[in-house]
Amino acid sequence: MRILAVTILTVVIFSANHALALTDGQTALVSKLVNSNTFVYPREDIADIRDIGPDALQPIITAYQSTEDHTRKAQLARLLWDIGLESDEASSVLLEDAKTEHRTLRVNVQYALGSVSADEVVVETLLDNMRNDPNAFFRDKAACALAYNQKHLSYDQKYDLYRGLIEGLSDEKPQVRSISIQALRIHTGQTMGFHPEALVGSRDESIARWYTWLQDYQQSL
Amino acid sequence: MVARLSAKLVAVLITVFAQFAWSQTSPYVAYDFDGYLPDSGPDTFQVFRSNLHKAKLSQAFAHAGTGSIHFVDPAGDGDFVEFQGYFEEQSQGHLSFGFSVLLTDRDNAFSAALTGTKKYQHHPEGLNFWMIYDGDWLRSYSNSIPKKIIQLETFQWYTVLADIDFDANTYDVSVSDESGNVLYREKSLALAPGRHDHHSVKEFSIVGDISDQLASDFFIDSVYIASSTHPKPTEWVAPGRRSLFVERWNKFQSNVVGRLRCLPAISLEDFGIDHEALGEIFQSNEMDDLLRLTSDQYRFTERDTEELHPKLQALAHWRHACQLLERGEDVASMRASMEASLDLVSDAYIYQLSDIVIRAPDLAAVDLIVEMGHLRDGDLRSEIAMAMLARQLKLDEDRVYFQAPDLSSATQQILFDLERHEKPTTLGDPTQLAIEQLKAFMPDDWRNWLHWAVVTEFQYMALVGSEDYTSARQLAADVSTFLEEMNIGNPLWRERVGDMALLLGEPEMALQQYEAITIERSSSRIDLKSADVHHLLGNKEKERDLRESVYRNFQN
Repeated sequence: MRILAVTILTVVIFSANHALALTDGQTALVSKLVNSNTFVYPREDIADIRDIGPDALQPIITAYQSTEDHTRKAQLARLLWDIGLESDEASSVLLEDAKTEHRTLRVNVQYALGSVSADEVVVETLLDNMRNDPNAFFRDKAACALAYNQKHLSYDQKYDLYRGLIEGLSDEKPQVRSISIQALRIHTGQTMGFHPEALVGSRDESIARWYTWLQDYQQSL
Repeated sequence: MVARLSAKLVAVLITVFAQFAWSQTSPYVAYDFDGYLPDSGPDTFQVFRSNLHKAKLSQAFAHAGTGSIHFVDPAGDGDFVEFQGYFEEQSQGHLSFGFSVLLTDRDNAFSAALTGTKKYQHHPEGLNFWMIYDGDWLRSYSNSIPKKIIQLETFQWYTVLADIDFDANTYDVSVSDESGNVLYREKSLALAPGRHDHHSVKEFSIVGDISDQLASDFFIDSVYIASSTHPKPTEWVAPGRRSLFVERWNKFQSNVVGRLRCLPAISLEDFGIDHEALGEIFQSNEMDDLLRLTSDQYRFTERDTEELHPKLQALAHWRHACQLLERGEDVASMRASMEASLDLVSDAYIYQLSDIVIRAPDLAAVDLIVEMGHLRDGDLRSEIAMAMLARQLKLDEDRVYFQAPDLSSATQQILFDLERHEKPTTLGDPTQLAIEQLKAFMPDDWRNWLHWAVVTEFQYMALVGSEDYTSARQLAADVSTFLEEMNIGNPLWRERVGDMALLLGEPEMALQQYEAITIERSSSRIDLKSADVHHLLGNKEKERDLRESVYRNFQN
């Protein structure tokens, strides 16, 4: 029992120290950025925050959770996006706003998600937004996030991403087919002859080539 | 570089090159890290490192000889260490890229690449060879798929050799151990996919983990590039460069700003394709052809001018004319194609505008463009076409191009912004943003101001392009003084006064201008030009400090 108590106490003390790991200077820097009311953060400050590491994210996440102001949240999402450190907690709070109707917040959250997370749920959510959101603008920005902002994915997770994009080539909405092929081209440099406005037979031939490619990709894993 | 090739590297290369029938010569890029390294610079290499990301000469391990480069790069800090090497662009024959690597930790990562002008894009002129070690497997990309090669052991040297065959659009790759035993060999892997076959590379890059997921701690030795086409580089003019920074800057600017080319279309109506024509194209199942003809990778074929809808034929003729203009080839065919395009669709705005650009140097074209610009209020393309012609015509002496309207205080900041834009600081095109601001503040005469700014810019480029540095300096000084009198910041035009002084053999005068700018605002571009000055003044230490503030080195 004593050993267990000591162990628990040690964990609690360690956790408390961990939570308070920032120096006064680091706390001031994070606080300055959190309260700066902007979408453009100085590159030097972002670099300094990265040097601090994941501990620097906690005050930002807390500020994000404690406000209802959509613009403010969007600014903090942008800050998390710029910093680009992986964090399950950041991912979790951002996912709560991944379907928001607020335009600025949605865009910044969608972009930030891939920057802070390698969670499969992020890719699934963005693929769902890309294909099923009733707003074409949000669909487009979800595809942008899938094309450019998935920096932490493993090869296996990329397989899921590619498969989702290839599935988007069969979507009945021409815009979804268009943004799916654009994202695939950005990831792989090729289109396999797919054109979103081509006749169904022609599209199906290209999609078959994409699935062959996906199979090759899977075999390489 | 080659002259200082060590015996150990020669031995390595002889062994490795024995695999290739084409290789009968010395490499033209070779780094053995045995104490001597060429100066960093735009024609040699650049090192991206920081306090956290280290890349330094080490004698702890060596594949051969005594030294190597030790790379250290922590994970999760949003950046990575990089050794980026430059060589003359290669797009035909064979090119060989080799290096040796030693890992200290199996869970670490690194990657090596050969890229062209499009850098890390999956494009024939981009990422053509990409090998990564992901903490588990060494992989090499083929058809944009990271194929497994081998698993690596720690504290073992491995030599990687990639042989690119530009004619076949493929590459072979091999990995050997310290004794030269080939552990892996794969032939005919695919270079970067793309719709055209023109693959090219001009840089190599060795980096930590670009996804920043894994840490890196590895050593690199015996890096080389060799080519079957044996390009003969030009002479060095200063450390790390075959032309001065100031000449590179002007050449780059001149290419970007002043080159004669077709202006881009921004809607199908520019091609005279209205709703009705689009319907016809759709009905005749030629939508794919329309998209193909408007693609940036379009390749002209005669068939496109014979079998398609007339408006698509016109478009094909126009693309052909523009491509010939870009390449500076076959003026007669270019003009014939342009005329054929206008014969088919005479009222298409972009064809009319392109026809005038192609007709340069016909002085009357300037008035035609101004007239068209007024017809299309707010269309910047006529302004740009005007400026292109200004450069081509080398200006009509009777015309007064340098005639600025009066400035109101409200517009000063806007023009200052226009002057100082060097690269995007916000999302979107900064030039477009500045123009929108200009319109907002000067709704009546923003076009006059824009016209003045653009034409003055091109006038300067015309003088620089024709190597009339004396006149260019005079123009830069006039504009600089004008802006100064209006209390508008003028760093760009002051810099240009310095550039011209440097090219006219007056380095002290150039330095005076550059130093006046750096008091207000630091800029790596000014630092590099100042490095030119110090080179010409014989101040080696200062030259190196300024150059290495940008290109770095491996020393410390």
